[in-house]
Amino acid sequence: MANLSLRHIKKVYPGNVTAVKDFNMEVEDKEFIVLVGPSGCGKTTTLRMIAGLEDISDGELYIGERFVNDVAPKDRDIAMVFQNYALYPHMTVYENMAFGLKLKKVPKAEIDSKVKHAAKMLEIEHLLDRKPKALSGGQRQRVALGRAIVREPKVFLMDEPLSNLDAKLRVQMRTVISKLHKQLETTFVYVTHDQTEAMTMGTRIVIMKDGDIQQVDTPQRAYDNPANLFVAGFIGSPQMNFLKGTVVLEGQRVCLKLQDGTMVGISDEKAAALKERGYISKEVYMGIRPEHLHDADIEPLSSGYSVFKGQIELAELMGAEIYLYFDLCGKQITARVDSKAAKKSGDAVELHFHWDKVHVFDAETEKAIY
Amino acid sequence: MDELREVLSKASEISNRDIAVIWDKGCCRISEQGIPGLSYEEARQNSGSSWKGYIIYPFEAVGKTYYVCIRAEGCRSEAEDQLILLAIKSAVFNRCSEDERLAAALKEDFDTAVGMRLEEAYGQRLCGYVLLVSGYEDCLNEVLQIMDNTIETTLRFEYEGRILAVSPEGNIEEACESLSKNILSELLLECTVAIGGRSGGIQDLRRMLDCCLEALFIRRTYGLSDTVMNYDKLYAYRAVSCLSPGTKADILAKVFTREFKEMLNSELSITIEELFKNNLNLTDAAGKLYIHRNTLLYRLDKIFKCTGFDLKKFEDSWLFRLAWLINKEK
Ligand SMILES: Nc1ncnc2c1ncn2[C@@H]1O[C@H](COP(=O)(O)OP(=O)(O)OP(=O)(O)O)[C@@H](O)[C@H]1O
Ligand SMILES: [Mg+2]
Repeated sequence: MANLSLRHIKKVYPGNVTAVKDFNMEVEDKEFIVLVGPSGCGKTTTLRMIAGLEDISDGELYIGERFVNDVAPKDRDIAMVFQNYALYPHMTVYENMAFGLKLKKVPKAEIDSKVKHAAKMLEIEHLLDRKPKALSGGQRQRVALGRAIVREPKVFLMDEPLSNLDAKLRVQMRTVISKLHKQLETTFVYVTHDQTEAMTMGTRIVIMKDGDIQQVDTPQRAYDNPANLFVAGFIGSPQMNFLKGTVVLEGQRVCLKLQDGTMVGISDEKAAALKERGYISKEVYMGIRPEHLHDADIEPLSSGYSVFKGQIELAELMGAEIYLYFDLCGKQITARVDSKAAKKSGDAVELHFHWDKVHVFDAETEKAIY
Repeated sequence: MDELREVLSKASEISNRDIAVIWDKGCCRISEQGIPGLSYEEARQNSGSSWKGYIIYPFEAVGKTYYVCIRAEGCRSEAEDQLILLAIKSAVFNRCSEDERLAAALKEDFDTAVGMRLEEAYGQRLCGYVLLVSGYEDCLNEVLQIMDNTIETTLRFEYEGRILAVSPEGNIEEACESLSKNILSELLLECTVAIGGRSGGIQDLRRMLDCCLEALFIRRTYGLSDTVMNYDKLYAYRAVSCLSPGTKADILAKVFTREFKEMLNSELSITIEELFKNNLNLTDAAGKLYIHRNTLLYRLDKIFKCTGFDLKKFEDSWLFRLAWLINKEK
């Protein structure tokens, strides 16, 4: 069990590509940290630096109390699981999990108890005599996890371990890994480009872009209070809707006036912040999540709300919900409403949304304004 | 008793003289007293001359230097020495393992006879993909064990600090990926596996070994991070590395203009890499980078404005890529 301390970690690859700029973070013991972000943002590089597979160009890395910048990977007490794991084709599941320990000359009885314990945790005890060929993708993935578990590392490092699995299996394995984390009570650092994985698994998530940390927070807080336009767009699906607007004073109320004249109210806190920080008459971005737009026909709001009106261009039935797409100020807006609405393309639609669900971002810095 | 000892003892009996063979980290002698205090280093220094009453003859076998020390006194003849030497050479050669002989043959020019002998000894085992595994630090044994359990090989031995192997696997790239992944998970070591190509015999083996070495060279030169390097897929790099320095400089100058160099930051580098990775598919690349397609177009336009290269066009993009690779050369 160990905490991790990444102090101003930087990585510059030859050719002057700065993959990680200034990664600064304290990971507590037993946390499940998810690094998430688009391709090339430096997730794998960060993980590889923690593993010791990549030199750290600048900054300090501690695992527990130990300064490990120059410690070889095998001496860091970590285990890695990645997307394209491999198994030994001619060995049984048991042997596959035991092999690493055998290489380390761990006594047989100890190997046996470790393998059985891991198998139990992963619910693959009944498969111990099988060869990898006779396993499903999900079962194989569990064996790969088992190989890491038997090492009893202080820190688990995982790089997109599920991205090769089909959607259904991915959901299933998410639960397996989350459960494992609870049982093992060990620190996990998990890399993914999939925000859903990040949201559902992490105790805290690190949202990265271009080698920079954009926000470190619990999934809920990152969703509720995204630090900037990028995080707001990246977290949540379908994506948050963004529109340009001007901050105006309507009597005493601070509002946002959209390009087509639509007036949007905001929470008192945000109103105060905008006023105080001199945003009146300035342009800002407003953001509203698709799930916060309510069909006025079936769930009208009664107070503290604003209204979008439009004509539906496309309606996608997703089961209990329906996604409505319509145009506002020349931008496509998505609403995620109850399928009871039974709307179809061409229909006129009126959508209500609470003022306190409206996000506001500086038009230049793209930072959230609270 | 092994053949070398037998030969030594017979030769020493017939000629009635002390004889010893000495090599790096080893020696073989018959008489009880031996040859006092002769180290490999001393033998090397006095090679071809006489030393403390001995004549020291050097010879090469299977890539190693051996010294035969024959007591100079008594009724000796040049011919007798030569005969003794010949018998010892043959015994030394027979003593080496097949793999040592093969390794030696790969290092130096060998004649048809040696070639045929090796072909005969190894037969089909020389046929398959030639692989070279490197970067295993002090974990040779562990890596060999992982190898034995991951990938089928007909031949494998340590060769100049790397593992040389021949594998009959059909999907060689996948097998090598598995190998490198298994080594990484078990030992947290990142080994590189070079695939030279398919060998059909001893001559091919040598050629494919060179291909493996070239693949590793390319990996270093262009700072590639792939752990499996398939020589057969490195045409672009091979072509670029063949260009003359003058041509390279010309191409580089054309793309890496002053303005472009000033503008080139990590963000733009990543954009360019991603575009190449996605086969110039703008939608895919933008999706992966999580930027709007228009943002990507805007960045490409910036590149066009300061280099004259439009990466959306095939003609421009491949020349640009050439320059991009040249720029990575170390
Ligand atoms: N060995 C390397 N040499 C040079 N540049 C590299 C190397 N490895 C990665 N990079 C660059 O560093 C940047 C970050 O790469 P990294 O692999 O960490 O991204 P990532 O967030 O894991 O992306 P993905 O989601 O595509 O896996 C990229 O621009 C990449 O091209
Ligand atoms: Mg990655």
